[in-house]
Amino acid sequence: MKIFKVGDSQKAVCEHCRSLENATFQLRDVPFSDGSGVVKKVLVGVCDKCDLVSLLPHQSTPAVKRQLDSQRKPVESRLPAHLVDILNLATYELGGSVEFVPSLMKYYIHSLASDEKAAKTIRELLQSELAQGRADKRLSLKGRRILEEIDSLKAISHIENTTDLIKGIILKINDDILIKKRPKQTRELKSIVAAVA
Amino acid sequence: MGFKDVKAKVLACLASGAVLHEQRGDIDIKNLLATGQVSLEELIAVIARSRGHQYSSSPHHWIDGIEVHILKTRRNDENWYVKWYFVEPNTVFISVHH
Repeated sequence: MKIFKVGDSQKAVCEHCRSLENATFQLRDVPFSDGSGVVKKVLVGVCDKCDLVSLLPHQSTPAVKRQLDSQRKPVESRLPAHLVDILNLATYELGGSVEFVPSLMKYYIHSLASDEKAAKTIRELLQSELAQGRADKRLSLKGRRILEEIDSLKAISHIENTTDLIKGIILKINDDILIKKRPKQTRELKSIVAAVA
Repeated sequence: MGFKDVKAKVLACLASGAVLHEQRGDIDIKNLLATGQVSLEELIAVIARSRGHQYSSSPHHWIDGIEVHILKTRRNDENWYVKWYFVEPNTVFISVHH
């Protein structure tokens, strides 16, 4: 990856000047073209002639993506408290803390969305008594692909309601991590926990 | 430069991360590569499978000596539109949409 530093420069087409100009890399607060937000202190190439942003180096895309993801509408579910406790316990079992709960859920949503056989078991798990209870707690999940993966998972698991689907996934986590302690999932998730710790 | 050479050059830039994104005063929300919604690896896969009939090029509207390259292709049931130019030693992407 070519890494630019503040003060480096690069020739680029400036659409404002309508010419090939020198752009100098600087940290700037740059808005999105649709006005939905601003990426703060991001490294961009600024045209030496007109002082407008003409380039974004690829090294800045994670910062752009982070801002974009933070603006996305989260998937919200209201759940019985004991289901949130199951998630917290599972993260401890994997060597993580409660901060790992959204990542654990996203791992399962992603895995199940591409595993029709496993996805179909969620529906059976919803028959369990653990699926019942007053919805006292809230779970919020954000991410670039979460909405599309939840939609895929709804289609293959034949569960229409998002909260029911989230409940089923938590019961699947309970089954895999806390009850059966399945080695494949446990090993993979422990590696992820270690990587993000 | 023919399609084969253009393709090899853009793939080399993507593989080495010699990649910049053209902007017009703000961050183009529609450029999926610039906003991190498409990864370098995903775009490499799209371009690597493209064929000559999906490619066109034309001189830049205002700047002599800059050739703008356009690829319209299809992958994973999606139509892709990719537009770029080269400024040594980098590729500057104007559009990456699907």
